[in-house]
Amino acid sequence: MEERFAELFGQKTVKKRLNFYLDAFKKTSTCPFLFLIGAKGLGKTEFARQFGEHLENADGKRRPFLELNCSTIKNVEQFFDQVFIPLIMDNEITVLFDEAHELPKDLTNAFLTVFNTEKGTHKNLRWRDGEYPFDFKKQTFLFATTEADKVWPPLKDRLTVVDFEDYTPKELGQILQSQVEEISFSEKALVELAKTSRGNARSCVMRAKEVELFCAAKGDNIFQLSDFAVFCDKLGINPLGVNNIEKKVLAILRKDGQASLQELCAKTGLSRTAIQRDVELYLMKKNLIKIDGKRHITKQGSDYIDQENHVKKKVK
Amino acid sequence: MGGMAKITRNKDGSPRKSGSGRKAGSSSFLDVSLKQLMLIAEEKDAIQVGRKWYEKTVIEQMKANSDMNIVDLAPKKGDNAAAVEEKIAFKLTTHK
Repeated sequence: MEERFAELFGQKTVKKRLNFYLDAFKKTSTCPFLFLIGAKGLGKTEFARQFGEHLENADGKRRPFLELNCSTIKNVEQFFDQVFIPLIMDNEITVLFDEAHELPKDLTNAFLTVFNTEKGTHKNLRWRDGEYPFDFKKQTFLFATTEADKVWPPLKDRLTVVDFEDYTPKELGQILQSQVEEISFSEKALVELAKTSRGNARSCVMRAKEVELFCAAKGDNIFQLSDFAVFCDKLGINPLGVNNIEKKVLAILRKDGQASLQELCAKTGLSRTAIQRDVELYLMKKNLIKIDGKRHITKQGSDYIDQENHVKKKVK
Repeated sequence: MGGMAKITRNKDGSPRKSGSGRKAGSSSFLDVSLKQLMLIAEEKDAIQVGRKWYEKTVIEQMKANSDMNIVDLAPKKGDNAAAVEEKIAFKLTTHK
């Protein structure tokens, strides 16, 4: 049996499910309306594209793939005029609604009718003077978003959720390595590099490009742990991908031991929401701080700051 | 002395040119057989037809015969022309 999604790393559960739907598609020519959900950079769009690659038309040819950015759809009329009539209607095609949480309200309402298919594989939408036929044997509809909570629940209920899981550091390392195969990494350097991506596969791809430039400037294709320190210093990358604001909060907590949210606001100049949403979540995820009313630095957090100060002195 | 001819005005108030408009007895529509159309058009091609004819025959026929679900959706406020003019960003990948 052909191995699908072979060039994509990780996401075993997602691969299994998509394989299941592809097998079913071969027999039935239909596919549920899949809704790919996951944090940014986990590969939703890439998986959707690869999924589309395996869908075939009735004549055995690969089905065209249409990728729409929902934030640019303003209303039903514009969608039918610019996209549905010229590209989808009566054609065999796969359509991906990317950033589905940005779908306009009136189109969301229309989709409640279209995608409400308990039985049958056709749906006709009548809107104003027109009839818009949807044929789910000819057309496959996929949705993807990072913000599933913003999608109107009745629409979400009509879709089949496929949720993405976090990548392990090893998988992130594989993604990074796959982008620069000519560069030889030490195992530790690869893991440390992968950690700076904050679990984001897309960041790994970008990081790989930076490593390529670094190695070209260095004049060889070997990247070791000693290179990692110099690389991070040159590009201003902090270990674990911690950004400078997060690092500042950690440094405050390292100095004071603990602080209230209000004290952190005063010392960083950030709002309460910004600290809670943009700073503390990642630091807690990485176990660098803990919160029990007040904010405390953990042992890992203290070690992180101490190590950073040590490296800074060493590089100087 | 003859009186002045009655002036017909356009919607914007300007006088309509004489001789413009549909002549009595003329028609915008003509009869074309499906066979003739099929010589120049394919199955998927769109052919402009009269709305009244379409509503009267095609939709009624579909309602009567097909298993298709026909739904009504009232136009919503805020569907303005300016929004329709803006382009939707999309990427279409086709295969040989």
